[in-house]
Amino acid sequence: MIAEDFDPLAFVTATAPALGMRFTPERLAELAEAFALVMRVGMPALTQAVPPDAEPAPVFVA
Amino acid sequence: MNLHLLTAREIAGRIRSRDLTATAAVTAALARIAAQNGAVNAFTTVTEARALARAGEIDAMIAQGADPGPLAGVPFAAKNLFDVAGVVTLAGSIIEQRRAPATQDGFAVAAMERAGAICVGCLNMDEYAYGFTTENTHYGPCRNPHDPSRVAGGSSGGSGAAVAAGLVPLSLGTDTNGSIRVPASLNGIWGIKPTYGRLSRAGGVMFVPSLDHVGPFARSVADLALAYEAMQGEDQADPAQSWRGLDRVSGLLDQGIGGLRIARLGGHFARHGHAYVQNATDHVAEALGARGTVEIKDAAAGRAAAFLITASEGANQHLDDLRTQPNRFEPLTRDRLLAGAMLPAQWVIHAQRVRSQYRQDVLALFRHWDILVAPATPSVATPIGQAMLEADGQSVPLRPSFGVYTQPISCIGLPVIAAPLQGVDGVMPLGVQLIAAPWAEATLFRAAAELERAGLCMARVAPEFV
Repeated sequence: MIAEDFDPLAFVTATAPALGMRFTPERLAELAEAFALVMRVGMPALTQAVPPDAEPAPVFVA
Repeated sequence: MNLHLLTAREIAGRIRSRDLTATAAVTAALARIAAQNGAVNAFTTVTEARALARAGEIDAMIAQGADPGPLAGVPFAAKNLFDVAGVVTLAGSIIEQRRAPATQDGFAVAAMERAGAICVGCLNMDEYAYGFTTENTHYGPCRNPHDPSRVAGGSSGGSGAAVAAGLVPLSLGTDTNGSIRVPASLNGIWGIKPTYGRLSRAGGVMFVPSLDHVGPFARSVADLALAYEAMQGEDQADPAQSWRGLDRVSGLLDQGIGGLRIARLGGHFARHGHAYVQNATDHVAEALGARGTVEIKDAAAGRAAAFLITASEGANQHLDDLRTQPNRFEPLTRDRLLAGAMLPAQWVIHAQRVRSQYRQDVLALFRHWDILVAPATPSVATPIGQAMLEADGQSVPLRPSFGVYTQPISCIGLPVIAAPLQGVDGVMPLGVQLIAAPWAEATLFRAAAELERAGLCMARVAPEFV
């Protein structure tokens, strides 16, 4: 799902304005580090194959 | 009389039989909080006037021959994300100080008081429930009663520490990824995270609505059962509640575990933690007569899905404040929330699909097993300020890692009781998760009571606070 040349710093730099956020270059570097950590911990899910009919609804009845 | 050593059931029994007044019980609890809270920093607010007024009402009911309920006059406290009338609902933040005081109690607090319990205050927590250590920068770290230099766990750290220090016999917390089970484990007390949708969460600050649960902490299984029963009730105000009628469990505690099919979880749950964690889990599994070890396929993917959903959904809850006043957030988690706000929607939807598929796979296991036994935390409580966790030959960031065993369970809403063992590393307590199929909390209470009777799992007031 994620290209090998994905660059967290470029991504957060481009995404922040879309959320109405502005950061200094120093803060963007810190956010890129945080984004990379979230991505790293989330990677087992991001690389997990799921069948096409797997339910995407966020709320479920246990 | 050392009221702080009594269970909730014993306190209520004495009050109902007029050996003790609710006013005396609450006065003693308030005095103990005043004397001891400074050592653990569990309380952020003490609701003295309200508690004494309520105690007077309970005493008046008893004098008139009325029944105040099974928790008559029992002091309890609630994590400070629950609404408590007259108190600003902080959710561990300074941003929420702008709010007006709550005008009514949240559902869980009101339900406890309907059962006769008396709220004596609000408890420290990780900001917005995002954390496993309650090292709250704004209100100070919550300290572990078994060793005040160590964390009390989180995010319901104050709820765990208050019960383990004997400040109250019962407390309320929430659990999104482990926030009841982690502090229950690190403070050596009982905690239950019921099935997703069992208990109403209305009247408080949510963290991740598709993952949030509420539940109680206690120092005995019987007390845990009483609080769990008291917190129940149908509530249209929580759209995620799936009301199925009252789940009465107190009468089942003597049933034993005959006929239950119990297994120990291996794979993901046999890695990541210290050897003493695995040994403690083995002892509990053996004591319950576990008949084998089973693996939950893709537990790591399930945990990772929960992590992504939490970051994204949690950030969305606070997007306006992240945009306008980011510097007022908890520095330990602010950047993780900001990163969560930026996650691509396709990643989050994919995580939801992973969770759905993972849930189907895990539910299939319960055709063969009634209870699964797993560690609750990868380590005993760590020193306050420690950033990395060394375990199983690896060094990993500590704060997100305390949920390594709890996240794969809560992300699909399974009910869990955290069962405490004392001194597992020679000093500190540790918890083990007892996990059941959705809506099978009664099975968990039977197993928990069996472990308590056997003397393997038990909670107590920490020695320095006796």
